[in-house]
Amino acid sequence: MDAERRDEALTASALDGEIRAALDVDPSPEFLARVRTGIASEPRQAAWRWPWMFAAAGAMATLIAIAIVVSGPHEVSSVLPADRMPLQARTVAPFSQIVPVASGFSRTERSAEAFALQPREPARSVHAAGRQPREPEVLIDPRESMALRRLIAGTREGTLDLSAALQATTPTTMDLPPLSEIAIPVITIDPITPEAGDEGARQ
Amino acid sequence: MHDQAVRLAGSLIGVEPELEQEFEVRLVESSTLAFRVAFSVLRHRQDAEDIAQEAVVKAYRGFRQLRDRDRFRAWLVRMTWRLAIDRQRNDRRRTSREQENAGPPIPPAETATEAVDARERAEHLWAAIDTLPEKLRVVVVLSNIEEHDIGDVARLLGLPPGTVKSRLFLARQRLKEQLQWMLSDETRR
Repeated sequence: MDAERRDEALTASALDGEIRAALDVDPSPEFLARVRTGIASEPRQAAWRWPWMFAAAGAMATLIAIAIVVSGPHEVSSVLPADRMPLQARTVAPFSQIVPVASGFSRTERSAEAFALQPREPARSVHAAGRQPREPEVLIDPRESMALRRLIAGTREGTLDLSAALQATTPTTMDLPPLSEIAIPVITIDPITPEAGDEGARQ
Repeated sequence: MHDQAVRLAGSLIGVEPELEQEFEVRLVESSTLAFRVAFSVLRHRQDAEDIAQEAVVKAYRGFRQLRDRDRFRAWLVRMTWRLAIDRQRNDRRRTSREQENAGPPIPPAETATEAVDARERAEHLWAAIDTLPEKLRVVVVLSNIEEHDIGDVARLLGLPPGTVKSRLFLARQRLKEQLQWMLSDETRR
């Protein structure tokens, strides 16, 4: 009997059969209902819907930001041609930036740029200009500005010869005519004599 | 932009019921498997049901993040196994006490003698299974639940079929040796 049992235990199929029989256990009928109850008591909103809520909130925030950017006041394109830019829009370089240079023509380091009147910097928008503190406008006569532009343009193109102006040191003194003697006539003052008559006489 | 908004709204409204339905289907087809896996470790019906329920609830929480839903069974089996092993380790004293009270499941027997024999054999079998290392034990258990073949066990454990085959062979060898030793020891007594 024991030998038979031992032989039976040694066969793989019998072994699997025994394990299978040992594991052939079903849960109680209430098991599935308990599991469903456990799932139902889970915070479903937090578990499954929160990621979507975050995604939706992010998408909405992005849309609002885009709408604000798109619907905001448009920037005024203030890029003007160099010859049409008003000189009063430019500011004078502060004293701290003015340094003497060797050139006799340009008195400051920035003067060449300042008077070139070409928009090196990107044009400022109306908003940007509004945010900056207002500076007193420097008004220049349009005729003077035109003359300056021509002078600078001519210098650049080489049509103007400024060598004489650059080499000039001090202005020459004007020859004055020789001094001549001034004849001053003698001034004589005659004494006043009273006229004859009753006038002024004591009575 | 409008299409994206429509898609987003549709996903917010329609995805949850679909997921719930899909999970319900998988729950029905896999809950018994989870219970049996837990039972193979704990050998206590109520504990096994608790662990299986815990595993299913965890699976529910993470179901959305599961990319390959066809691997749900494997995911659930591994999670249940791990939870059951943790429960067994953390609460070994209580488990052993309940085992003494409840005893291992007894195959149906016609007579009282057969019932005693069946109980003894089951006790020996479980004692032998308990001596196996964990990676051999899980292979033996899974291959004898729901008539899983080598391929099924390999998919459930995420292992190559050859590895499962060799582990199953090794586990059977060790079980045979263990049972032989137990029976011979009993015969000597």
